[in-house]
Amino acid sequence: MAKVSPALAVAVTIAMIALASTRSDAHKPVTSPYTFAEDVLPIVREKCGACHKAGGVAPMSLLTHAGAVPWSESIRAELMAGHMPPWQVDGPSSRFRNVRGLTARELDVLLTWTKGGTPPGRAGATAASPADDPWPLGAPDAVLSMPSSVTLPATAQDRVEELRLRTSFDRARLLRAVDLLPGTPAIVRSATISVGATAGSANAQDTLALWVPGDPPVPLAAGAGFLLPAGADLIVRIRYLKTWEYEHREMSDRSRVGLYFADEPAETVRALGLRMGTTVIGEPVRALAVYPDPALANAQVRAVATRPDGSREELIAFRPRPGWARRYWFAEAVALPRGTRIEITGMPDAELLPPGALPQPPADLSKIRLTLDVVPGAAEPPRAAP
Amino acid sequence: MNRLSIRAVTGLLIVLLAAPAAAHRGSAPAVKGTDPRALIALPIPGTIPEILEQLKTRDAQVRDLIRAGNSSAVWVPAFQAKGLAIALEPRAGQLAPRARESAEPAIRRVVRFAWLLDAFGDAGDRRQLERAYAEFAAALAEVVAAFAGAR
Repeated sequence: MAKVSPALAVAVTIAMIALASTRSDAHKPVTSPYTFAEDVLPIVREKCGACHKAGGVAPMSLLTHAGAVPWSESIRAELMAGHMPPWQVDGPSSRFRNVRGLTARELDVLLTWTKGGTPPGRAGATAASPADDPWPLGAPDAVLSMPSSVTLPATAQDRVEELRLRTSFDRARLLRAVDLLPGTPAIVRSATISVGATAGSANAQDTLALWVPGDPPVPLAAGAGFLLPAGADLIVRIRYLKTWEYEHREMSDRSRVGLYFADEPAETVRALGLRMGTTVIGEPVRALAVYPDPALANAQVRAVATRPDGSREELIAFRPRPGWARRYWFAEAVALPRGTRIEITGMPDAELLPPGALPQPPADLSKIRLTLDVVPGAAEPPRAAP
Repeated sequence: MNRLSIRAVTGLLIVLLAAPAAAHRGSAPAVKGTDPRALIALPIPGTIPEILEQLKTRDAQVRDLIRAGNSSAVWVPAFQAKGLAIALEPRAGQLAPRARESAEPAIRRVVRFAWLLDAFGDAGDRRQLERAYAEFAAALAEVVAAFAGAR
């Protein structure tokens, strides 16, 4: 019988143990009972897919297992930090018409999957990108194009462009919605559309739309409209941002703005500005939506209304993030009788960040300014649009 | 000099090589691995009051573990509380509107801060653990208050 020396046997055994250990460590143990195909994909498709898709504005697609796995650590950090998904309302999502946060279970599924070995599940599962409906509200009544393309040279990563779009309406119009259709969605990061000053206009710089990717436009309910005076220009302020995929590449965009006319007659929506502290409402109004100063970020902000009868109602409690200024549309119009006191409080958002999450710059509390979209008070609040 | 047979050495090598390979095969579908996190599934009680009692117990366990400096074990009761809270989420619909408005975001916070407790516990970061626990406990208290009286 052939023999080997004990020394050789021990050496070979140690080498094989080391090899075996290396192999074992090279694979994360799969502890997640949730798989990408069966559990994760349905969530990310609905809640993240508007941006995290091929050619989307986010820096990675999450709609395939191969696309999502390399980002699992980042996904986990951003979820635990509360940075994503970017619906920063602290209270119940049901209070607003356009807030689509994760449920507790969905959040847990994603975190468990990212920590638990990112198992793929059914092979080859992918989701089609959410339907790219160019105009989610249907064809606009009027479309205004940027006069020319905006080009970001290869050396530019981030740029804000302010453009003036001429309107040609021979009379003032009331608008039920304003939307933006990016020409190059991968670089259009956010936009503000407002009314330019006109002679005799009291509504200069009224904000018609705060556009962020993945946030479908919400139309005003019947009976209300944003005023666009005759001859007014639209001021479109677009922030362009290249993700790593487009770094060092020249990119161009020519976005379009869609206008949706309101049925008339209708009440004109007014902007009611609120600052830190207490504001007393001088005439009865109904609040339809609330939005922050676009420069406000990384603060905890709360607005509470106290009516003359003593009833209190939290209008919003949220943590605005840079680049995600949006309108929060109340599910039901909020009646604010004359004499209602609205108190705005705010403080820097003392984030509790997990390892790997990116810290945010400190808040500038002087930017704590909210705007309420209001119409005159009435006995019956307007119905929500379907 | 002692001599070993080639057959014995070969047998040993086969065992050593086969073990991780088998473990890897087993992990291809989403099976529970050796990570103990897969072993803490908690039976969810059938009634809301029982769930709330369990939540209070887990809350106290997390607090005591942090006080004792046993940060690496914090995740066990924290994750158990997370599972209990998630079990309440579909039942929030039976609450009065105001209680529901409070319960839903509080349950989400329980989940988020349970995961943060896990992360800070792994890192042994006591200061962050205490901050996360304060948020976790506050969220649990909100959940308990919202569901108090529900069956």
